[in-house]
Amino acid sequence: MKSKKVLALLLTGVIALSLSACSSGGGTEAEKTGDSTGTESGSVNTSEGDIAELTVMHKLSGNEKYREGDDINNNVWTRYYLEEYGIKLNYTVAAVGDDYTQKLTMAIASKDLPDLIEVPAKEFQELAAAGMLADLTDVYEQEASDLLKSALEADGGTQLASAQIDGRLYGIPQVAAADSTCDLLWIRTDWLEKVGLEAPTNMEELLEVARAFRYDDPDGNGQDDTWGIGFQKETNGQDGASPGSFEGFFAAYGAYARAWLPDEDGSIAYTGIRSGMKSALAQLNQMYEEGLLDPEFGVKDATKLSEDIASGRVGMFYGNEGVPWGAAKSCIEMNPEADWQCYPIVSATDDVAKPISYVRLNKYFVINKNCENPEAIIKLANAFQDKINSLESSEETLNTFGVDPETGINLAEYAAVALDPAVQKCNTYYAEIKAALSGEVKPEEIHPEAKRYYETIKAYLDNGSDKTNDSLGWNYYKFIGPEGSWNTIINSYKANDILVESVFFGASTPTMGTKLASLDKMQSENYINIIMGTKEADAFDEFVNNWKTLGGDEITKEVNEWYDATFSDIK
Amino acid sequence: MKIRESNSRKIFVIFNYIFLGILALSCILPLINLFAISFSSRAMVDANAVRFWPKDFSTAAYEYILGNRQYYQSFAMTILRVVVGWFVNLSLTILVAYPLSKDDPRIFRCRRLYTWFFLITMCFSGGLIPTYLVVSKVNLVNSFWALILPEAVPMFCVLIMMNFFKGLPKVIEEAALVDGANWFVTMWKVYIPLSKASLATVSLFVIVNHWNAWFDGLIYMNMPEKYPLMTYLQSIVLKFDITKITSEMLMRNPNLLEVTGRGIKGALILLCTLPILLVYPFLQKYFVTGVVMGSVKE
Repeated sequence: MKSKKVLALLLTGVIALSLSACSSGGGTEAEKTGDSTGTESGSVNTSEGDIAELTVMHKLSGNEKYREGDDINNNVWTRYYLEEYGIKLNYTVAAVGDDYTQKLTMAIASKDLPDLIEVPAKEFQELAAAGMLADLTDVYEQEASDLLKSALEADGGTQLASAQIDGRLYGIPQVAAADSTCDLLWIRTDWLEKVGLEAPTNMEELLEVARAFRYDDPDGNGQDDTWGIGFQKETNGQDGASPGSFEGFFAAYGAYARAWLPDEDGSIAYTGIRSGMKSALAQLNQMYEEGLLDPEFGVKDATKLSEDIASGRVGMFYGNEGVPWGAAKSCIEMNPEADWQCYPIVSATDDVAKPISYVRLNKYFVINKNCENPEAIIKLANAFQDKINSLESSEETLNTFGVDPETGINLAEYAAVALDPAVQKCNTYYAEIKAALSGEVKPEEIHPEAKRYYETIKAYLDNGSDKTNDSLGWNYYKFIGPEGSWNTIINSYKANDILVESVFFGASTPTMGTKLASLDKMQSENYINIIMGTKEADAFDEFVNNWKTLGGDEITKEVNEWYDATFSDIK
Repeated sequence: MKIRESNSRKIFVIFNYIFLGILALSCILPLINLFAISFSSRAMVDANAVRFWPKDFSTAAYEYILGNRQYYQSFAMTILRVVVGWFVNLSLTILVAYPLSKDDPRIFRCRRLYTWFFLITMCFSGGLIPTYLVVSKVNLVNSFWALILPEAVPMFCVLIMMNFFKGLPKVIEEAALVDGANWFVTMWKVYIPLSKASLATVSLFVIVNHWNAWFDGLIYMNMPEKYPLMTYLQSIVLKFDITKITSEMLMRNPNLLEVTGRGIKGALILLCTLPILLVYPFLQKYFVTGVVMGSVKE
């Protein structure tokens, strides 16, 4: 009997402990970052001759393939670094996706950071604040090539400024192309023809199309199985959601789900609580009551909505420029009759609808402060820009360092400090492809990478636009062809100067760290409740008040402080 | 003589069968669905049109996985880990459980102290980061032994073995001692041959544990080449980064866009669980005996 009691006691202890263990994770992390002294890198930075050895922590894409005999520590890039710059890279840690963040946390906790690291925004702030990163200000000034500088400062230096603390540079940000995050209105043109309507140019016409798609049997199967317009459940998700985004719809009323924009008085304010949002939600509620929305949208994520799009139940939705690669592609493969086209978003008021774009800075390349060769990071970044992103790089260079024509392996995947092309490169390609297709320039004269895309599109057009047999050609055509999402819509957004960019893109402010998650949840719940009619539209005013008092005001203050501090130099 | 069944009994049996049937179906149907998805084409999977039979048959997902060096490396790693881990765990389990099963204080005076010493490890652990620090400071990170040594003494198995040893008649042991055997010989020649059933149970626990473990592989292994199979399965990121797919890649490898995340996931899960699924039915009876074994004491 006694042993039984002991056992019971023991088991209770186990349960209590395992519960407390769950909540103790955050504490240890904070302790670790607070303690910045005594960091010692496990690497050896001995300079043998002129060779600088760097240990590297690398995030993998999960798709890497190597040529025969090559591996991550021995490939065309590492050999080039060694020969050209005398930099020897030792990849000591590599992992995919979220696992990489896990490995990074372990490395920070055990104070065993490699020399060259790729870090997400949150960890960048922590490491930089703890003084664990090398100051790159001087080496950037001395070593960065003009090409690298122009790529990093393409947006006027705002994103690079986010890597600075007190005016000193601690990392090289992966400059994000905000343009591609804006919403377009995607519509099935075969359905439009069937119901005898034109593409909508304002909210009234959009509702008309939605009603026709819902009730006029656009797929002609005699069944009541189509929805007017497709939405998914994330009303205000951190990384946006496509297809089925709400931002394009909200924009019709001059509101955005999670943007930070200057108000009339010049201070930065949250757009998720703008008064226009109330009208937008009321309108959505009306559409919901009319049956135009799938009543299950509140539990469907973008993947689920993609299934509906692919199987031909949804013919209109808001989404970004990449849609032809995903759901719409599956849709035309399932049903050769189907065709998709993107249109500019529409407005519900007399003002023109202004689409919103977000800078999503998700990684920085940094150097451990104990590394003796901080200039290496700039040299490596230069190399990638010269070989891959330069508009002057020859076809031979691209074949050697980019996609290997023999095996189809993308060698650029294992370059270090591989900063993806900035915006202007994409724009150049699109312009060049368009010019080549219309015969203004010869295909030989345009950039070799653009020429590859051009050839795919040309072949698609020459074969009579047969999207059933050449769905890949259709992808490229809809993406960067003359009718493509980028050329027709995004460039016209930009030409008319209506593309709005959310100004806040730093790491979380202190109050955001503690309160943003619950505020976001509250926002999402209120939006969905109003749309589905479980709450009156007037509940929006109450939500706005709650949002402000529960931390929104503090966050707004901090965002303004961040804005002033970050942009004081550049403004 | 035939026992007549009452009506209520019949109804009970019928409902019992229906209930158990539904339960069994709910276990097997997701697997069949996964199987169908893994053999279907991308468009069909994306449109969620696949139920329990492959549509638009395609082996692209399997070609993708089996054409990947990593799958074989990880498979070899897991096999090695299961074999070595089984040996280490089993020998240490026996060596710990045997002395702890001697509850006569004249034989083993500090038994109580040691029992608590081991039991405490079952209830308290250092937590993720401290454990990682210990492993990294003894230079085990990125080494195969990081998968074996931190969990070298599976306490649950020790408890099972301990109770089993206790249940064996003491007179056998006394006879062996009288015949001049020492403690070690008694264990080796008398106890172990008598414990084959419980050793099989413990082996099964250990093997399944090692086969399924993925988290230690993730935190202790620095390069994906060294991941065991389950870590690889867990970590494979199946979102194809569209911006990185080039037309050349697609021309060389037109299957690339034909495989989907869900198709590959389904294929991988099947390929990774199949071996253990095949072994399981044959070992399952030991599982049941093993769990019951420790529960009855004299």
